[in-house]
Amino acid sequence: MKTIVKIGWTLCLILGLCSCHLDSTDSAGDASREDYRFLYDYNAKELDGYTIRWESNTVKVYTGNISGAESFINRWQGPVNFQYVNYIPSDGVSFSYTPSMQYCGVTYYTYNNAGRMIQARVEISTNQFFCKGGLENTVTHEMGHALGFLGHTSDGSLMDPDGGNGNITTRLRNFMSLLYRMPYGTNIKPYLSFALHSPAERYQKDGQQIIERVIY
Amino acid sequence: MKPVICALIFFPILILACSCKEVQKKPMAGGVNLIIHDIPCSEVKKKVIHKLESGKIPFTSLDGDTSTLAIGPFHTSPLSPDPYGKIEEEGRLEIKCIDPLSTKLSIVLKIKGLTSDNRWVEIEAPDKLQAYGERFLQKFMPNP
Repeated sequence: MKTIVKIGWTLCLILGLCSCHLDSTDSAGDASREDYRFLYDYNAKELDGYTIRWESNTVKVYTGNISGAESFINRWQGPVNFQYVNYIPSDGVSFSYTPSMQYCGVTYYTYNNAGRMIQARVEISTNQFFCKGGLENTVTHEMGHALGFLGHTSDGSLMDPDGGNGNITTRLRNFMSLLYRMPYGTNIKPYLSFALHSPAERYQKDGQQIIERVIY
Repeated sequence: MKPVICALIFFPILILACSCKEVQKKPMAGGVNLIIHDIPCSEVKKKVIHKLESGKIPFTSLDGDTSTLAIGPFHTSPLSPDPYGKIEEEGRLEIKCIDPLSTKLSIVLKIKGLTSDNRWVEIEAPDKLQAYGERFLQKFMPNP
């Protein structure tokens, strides 16, 4: 009898071990597998499954005196906080107006291969007449990129190429919450429900290794 | 004997079960990336090539396209407080379209510094490589 009980316990533990990657939620929180997949597609994919974000959850922002910018940026508040400064931060986001009529807004940012965002620059066109949702949508959309949203959605929401209907959907909120709940450079591959087929690792320990081009 | 066998079976399983969700933190790296959002990727590529040409930076295509380029060698000034007369930069620039309006530029540089006794020494510190990589990308950052 004792032997049977022991075998039973062993089997239970083995099953528990085997299923530890198959549960649908994160043991540390309420993020679903879909949330991790979305985070992978729009952030971690560009660093072999490691997340890219600011080091701190309080991000320095220089608004460049753009009218109403603080309230537009604050739409992302929650998982991140903003510290508004009156200088261009070397480790934060800076906004400025551009007379360019070609684009509503443009975001540039740099990050290292450990996943730490270094600096971001956002240029907002002075003419928002033809921009869907106007200045508010443009500033909030660009701030989404400056916080680590890589690429664009096609679901009619704020992170569509044209800013969509301007809504920050639950999926986008979950994205930011999940991204800023873990440190930069967190490997999220263990949480994904699909096998990754990377022909070459782009991550470099010391930055000396050659980056191989990977086509998805 | 039996308790020993049980312990041998149970303990490794327990340890593995407890550690199976551990997240890994990456060490510091030297490569630098620049993401440009909301300008057509094709345009960014053209502008980067134009800036390289106008800056007389030697480059060759590694893939027959303009997606992966071998850059340099070319000489620049040292970043403060590096004690070198001049710096030689050489590296690999990858330009990737994430989507039609998002571009990623990745640079990995090999840096050498000219010492006061006229010797070229390789600079390998990841933070230095990152600083020079950052400067490189800032220089060639296309404007709208």
